[in-house]
Amino acid sequence: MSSRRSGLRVEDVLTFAVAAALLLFARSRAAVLHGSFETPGLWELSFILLPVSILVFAMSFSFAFGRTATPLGPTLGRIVGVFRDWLPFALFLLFYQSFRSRIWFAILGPDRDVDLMRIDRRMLGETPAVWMQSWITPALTSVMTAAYFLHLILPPVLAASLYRKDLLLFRRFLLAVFLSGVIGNLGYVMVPAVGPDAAFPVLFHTPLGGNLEQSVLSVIDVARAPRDVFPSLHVAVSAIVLWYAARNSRKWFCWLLPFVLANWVSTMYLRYHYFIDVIAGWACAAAAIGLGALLLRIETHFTKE
Amino acid sequence: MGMSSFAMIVMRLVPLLLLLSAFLIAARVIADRVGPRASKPTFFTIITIGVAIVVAAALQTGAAVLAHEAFLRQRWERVDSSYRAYVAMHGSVSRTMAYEWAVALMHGAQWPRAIEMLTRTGTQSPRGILLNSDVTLLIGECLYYSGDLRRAEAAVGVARRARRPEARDYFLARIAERKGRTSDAAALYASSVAHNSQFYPAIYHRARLLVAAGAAPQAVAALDAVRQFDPSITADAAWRNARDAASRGVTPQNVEFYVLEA
Repeated sequence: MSSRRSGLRVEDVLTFAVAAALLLFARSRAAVLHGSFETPGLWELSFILLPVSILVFAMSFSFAFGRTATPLGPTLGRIVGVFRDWLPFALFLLFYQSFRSRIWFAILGPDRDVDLMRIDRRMLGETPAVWMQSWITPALTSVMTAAYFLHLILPPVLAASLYRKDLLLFRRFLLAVFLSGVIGNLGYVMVPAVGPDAAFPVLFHTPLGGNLEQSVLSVIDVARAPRDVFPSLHVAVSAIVLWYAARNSRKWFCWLLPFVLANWVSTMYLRYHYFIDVIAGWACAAAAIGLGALLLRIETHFTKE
Repeated sequence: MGMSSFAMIVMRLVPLLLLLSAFLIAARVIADRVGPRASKPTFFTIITIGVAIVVAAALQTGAAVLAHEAFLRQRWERVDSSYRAYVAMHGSVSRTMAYEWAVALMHGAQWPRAIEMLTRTGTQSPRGILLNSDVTLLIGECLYYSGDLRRAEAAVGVARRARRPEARDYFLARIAERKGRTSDAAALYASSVAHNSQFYPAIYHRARLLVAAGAAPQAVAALDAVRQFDPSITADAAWRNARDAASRGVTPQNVEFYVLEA
């Protein structure tokens, strides 16, 4: 038996695994015991699960009405495989939702909005949300609200396309999304903040207006975790979407680029984020993509062995 | 259709698709195991049962979505009828639904049913149902309008963290006045106005008590101030009558305002 003084120990892995399992268990238990389909925090999950349920339905339909008899075992195996393949998405959301737990209020330090604002002012003179007030029109607010909501549409759409074409690229994409969630949650713990609108309401004199704003943002807000500002996971996830859209095809990249750019701008226009959160979101995406690729290489290495 | 209705549909579409998938698989598996003659009828019977369950669930979802849409458009009778249809189809009432239904019932002056729905917005605890201050205030309002002043005062009194402190103090003032504690009522109306200087029911009744206390010019000034934030008030007969009475030193009529959640 070796006594390792440096490097990763089995105790380290077990400690982190148990902590993560406890967190997931607590959140899942709360969702099962107290949740319903109307539970506000869980409605985002249904957007992720929709492609899964469509795939499962298509497989079941083909099994039930298919002309050639298919054995039950392989069909069930494929259905379980679909759930397993898409699991990182669900885990990403569960991790995010775990941040709604009140236990975090005992752990989090004071809000760091003042520091984030100071960084923005040092870089740009003022946080963009303040000077973007001069852009406000009802039509632009509606466009920005729709763009902000795209974080729930673009990942499942791209994932469904990748799932059909290239399973490895699909796995890389989902792993990167999951890892961005883990990194993002670490950011929330280390730099808790509520965003410019909540922290500095006196800076905002022009109402956002727009027809969509109230109906869409109120639904999004009920599912938001508190202090989910640094880094912007909207930016991180949409940057990952753009990266893997480019890897998928040039057409996909060109098609998604304006939506993703609008999504990034909307995080500041709608006053949820500082500019430094956006930069941190890009960094988070880069780290998640790099780490995901590294983990898959390690997996390939061990699989070969 | 509102965004929240769209989310509600997607939320229910996922389990319905999975349920239908389970029926499809079960139909094929069971049909393959029975004899060749019974195979087809068995298959289509199971599929029919599955489709019937899904259609029932879809209708139930439709009723819930209609009720929610009606709530967003403030069609209170439609909210009540749609939620009644939803419950008749064995739909379970979530806390959000119970709140929307309660508000609709309050607008229909169905106070006992509204109270019943409001209590369903609470969370169970070992000590009983936990209600937040806003809901407690609404229960107090229902009790007040149904004439149960003693229980209304108790309910409104404990709603210390309500997000509408002006409404809380207003109802405490109304109860105090009806119980003959006029000086308490005057102080509470003033407190209500201090919380929200544009809360017209409190402004009106404060002005009324000011006239009764011999401070008619102050009452007229308070009523005139309403025009600054609501110019259309001049078309309101109750306001015109009150202002006219106050300017003559006559106590305006004791009007009952229905202060309800929009």
